Amino acid sequence: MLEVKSLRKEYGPLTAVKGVSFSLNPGDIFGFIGSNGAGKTTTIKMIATLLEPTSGTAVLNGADILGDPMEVRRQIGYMPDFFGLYDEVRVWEYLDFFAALYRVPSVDRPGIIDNVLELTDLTVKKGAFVQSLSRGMQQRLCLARCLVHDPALLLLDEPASGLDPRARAELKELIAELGRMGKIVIVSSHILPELADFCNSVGIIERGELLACGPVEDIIQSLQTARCLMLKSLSDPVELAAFIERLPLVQSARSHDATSVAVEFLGGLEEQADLLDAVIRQGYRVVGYSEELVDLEDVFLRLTTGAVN
Amino acid sequence: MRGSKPFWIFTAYVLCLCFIGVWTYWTSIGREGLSLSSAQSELTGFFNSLIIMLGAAICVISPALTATAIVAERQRLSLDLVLSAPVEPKYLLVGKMISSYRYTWMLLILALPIVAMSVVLGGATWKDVFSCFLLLSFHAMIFTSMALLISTFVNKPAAAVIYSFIGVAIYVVASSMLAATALPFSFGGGASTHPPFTIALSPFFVLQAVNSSMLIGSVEVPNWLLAGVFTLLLCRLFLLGAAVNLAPLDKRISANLRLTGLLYTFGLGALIPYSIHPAMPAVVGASPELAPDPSLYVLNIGLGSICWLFLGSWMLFTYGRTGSRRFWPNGHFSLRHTLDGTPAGQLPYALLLVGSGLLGAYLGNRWVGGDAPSDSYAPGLLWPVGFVVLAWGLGHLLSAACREMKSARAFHFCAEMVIFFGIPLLMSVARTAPSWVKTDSDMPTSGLWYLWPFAPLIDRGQFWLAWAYGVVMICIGLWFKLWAVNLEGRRARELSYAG
Repeated sequence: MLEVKSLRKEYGPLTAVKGVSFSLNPGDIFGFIGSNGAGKTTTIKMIATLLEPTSGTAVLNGADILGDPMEVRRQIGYMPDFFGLYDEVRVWEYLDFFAALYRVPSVDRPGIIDNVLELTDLTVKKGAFVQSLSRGMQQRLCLARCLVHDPALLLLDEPASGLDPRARAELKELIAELGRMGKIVIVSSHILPELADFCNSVGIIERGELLACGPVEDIIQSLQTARCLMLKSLSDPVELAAFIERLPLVQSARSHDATSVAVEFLGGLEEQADLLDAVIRQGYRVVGYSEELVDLEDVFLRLTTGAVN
Repeated sequence: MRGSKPFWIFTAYVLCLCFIGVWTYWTSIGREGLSLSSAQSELTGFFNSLIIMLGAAICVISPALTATAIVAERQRLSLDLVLSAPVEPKYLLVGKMISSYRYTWMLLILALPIVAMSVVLGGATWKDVFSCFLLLSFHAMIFTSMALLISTFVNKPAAAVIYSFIGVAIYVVASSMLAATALPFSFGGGASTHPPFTIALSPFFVLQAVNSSMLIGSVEVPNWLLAGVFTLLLCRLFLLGAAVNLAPLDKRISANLRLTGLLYTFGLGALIPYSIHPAMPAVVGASPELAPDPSLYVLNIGLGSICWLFLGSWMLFTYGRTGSRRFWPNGHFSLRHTLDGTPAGQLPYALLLVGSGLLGAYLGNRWVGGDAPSDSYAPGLLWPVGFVVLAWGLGHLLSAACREMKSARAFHFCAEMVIFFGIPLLMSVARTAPSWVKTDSDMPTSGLWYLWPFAPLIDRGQFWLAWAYGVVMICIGLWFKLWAVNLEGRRARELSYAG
């Protein structure tokens, strides 16, 4: 279990991270969202023991990042937003080197290397030089490096940046698989739709402050005061909007285009059915009805102002 | 190195050595009609030239191979990956050092067949060969660790290589000067015919040092052994410095480096009166009445021992406005932070350093039978304190004025160079001498020399001068510090307003 307690980082008068707190359990995939300079990488680096927090701490399975950094390092796999690969080194040698750094016994290393290569779908490239791999493969190799010592926590800083759609989909599946394996995964990314697909909780950070944190649905729910309904009809949308606006629980209604009306509705599913029923009874010829779902991107845009430190 | 590159590099190296060997042979020993004694002498010369050439090769190759070790990791962004693993910096550094050092040994081993020619033909013995190789390997170890240290605080490989060569050049010049001062002992010019171990510190004096030994009390200790101890101590200092650069937040390493600094300063302070006092007057041919007054050493050696502090203070007393919190002011003077490298601990540590140098000099002087210093010297002790406070205040002022630590360090270094060389340069251009110098020449004397903060170090009899300089420097240092505090406050207000 990872517990981040009021983590704070100051650079003189500049506060990069302002008391970030959250806790994660095994199997959690946590999406860390924020614009550039929001404090994501600083937070991740503090958890990775590469930066000393000004105050606060993080505890991973009983090991404190300040009190026992070596034990924390043994339990984490850190993948920064760059590759950091060595030239003239083969894939298996690269993994063997890092396995040795993490004190994996030499007799176990060949088997572990084969396993992580299989998991990251790089078995065929075992003997290839790392500089000959494509960007997507190098990304997967970096992930494989993080896995050689079977860490409890994976810190992935912008893992999908610069990848093509196929490589991105493969990486997404791989991270989901790691979550299913019981690892805690923290992923920072700018590409919000892909985070929403496999993260079961997210944290939105701006100017070092954690604005929202928790399961994706809960955050959306907490922000969404009214549902956005879209009615498509063959009738005049202006007239229909005027009628709908008079109905109970309707916050606003306006014609969206030549055939559609957008409705901000405060009721639940039962009330939605009543609204539709009332519209049809009035003689409007409805041909389509849908709820516009708020996604993570909307939540992010609503919560943040775009300000940076 | 992987692939065919090392093969071709080492082949070229061996071919180069072979060419020099054959050329030397045919132009000297291979000549017809050479007598046996002349041939022997030529062979010895051949051996000597090979060893000097190997010394030069090591000066070039060792730093070149090591200088990029850490900076290349930083540039390819793999250093963070290594440091996020449970690896202590000392293991990383020792690993890097072994990796580079083995190439140096490979160069020596590859040179062995060529050097062996002179053994087979009678110009040298195997003992000479292996002793020379041992001493050369010590120098290679020093250059390797020095280049590793430099590699940890520069950002570009080319800069690392250049700075390493500069560092090696400074070491070679300084050690050769030390070795040259030790050389007259070998010719019977000193109180003893045993040269001090400083003769073994230069890669170009290997041949003179190889069979020499130094008297410690009544025990004759081989100089290669003392050079080996010196090498290990110096490498430890360099590697600790590198480890602090790699892991600036690790307070244990910072404390370890600072404790090592204190011990070394104490050792230097103790060693200098011991090694110089009994022998040096005889070496330079001075009359007994001009032999140094032992009690003067207490002050002068103490003052001398902080000269390195002067050279290093641009690193010791500056801190950055970017980077980790460690480099932000965390107070003005705190004994609790003496060993952790934070700005609040800089002044207490520097004062401790001066104290340990003075204590070492005092104890060393007493050990060699020198007189206890009289009370009149006590005021002179204010000079080193003043010097430290001045350098500390200047460092803090420049740190507050500059945005980056690098700029603060550069300006501090330049400012100290001006302080150190400014007045002497001005006076030498004006062709004047200090007013206390009694000169027979018609060179005019000038009191302007008294503006030079280091004047009391030269004008040794004037302890009141040291006292006065100490007070003035303390005042200026504190004024700089107040200025720095004011600047920092203003900058903080500007930043909070902008935020």
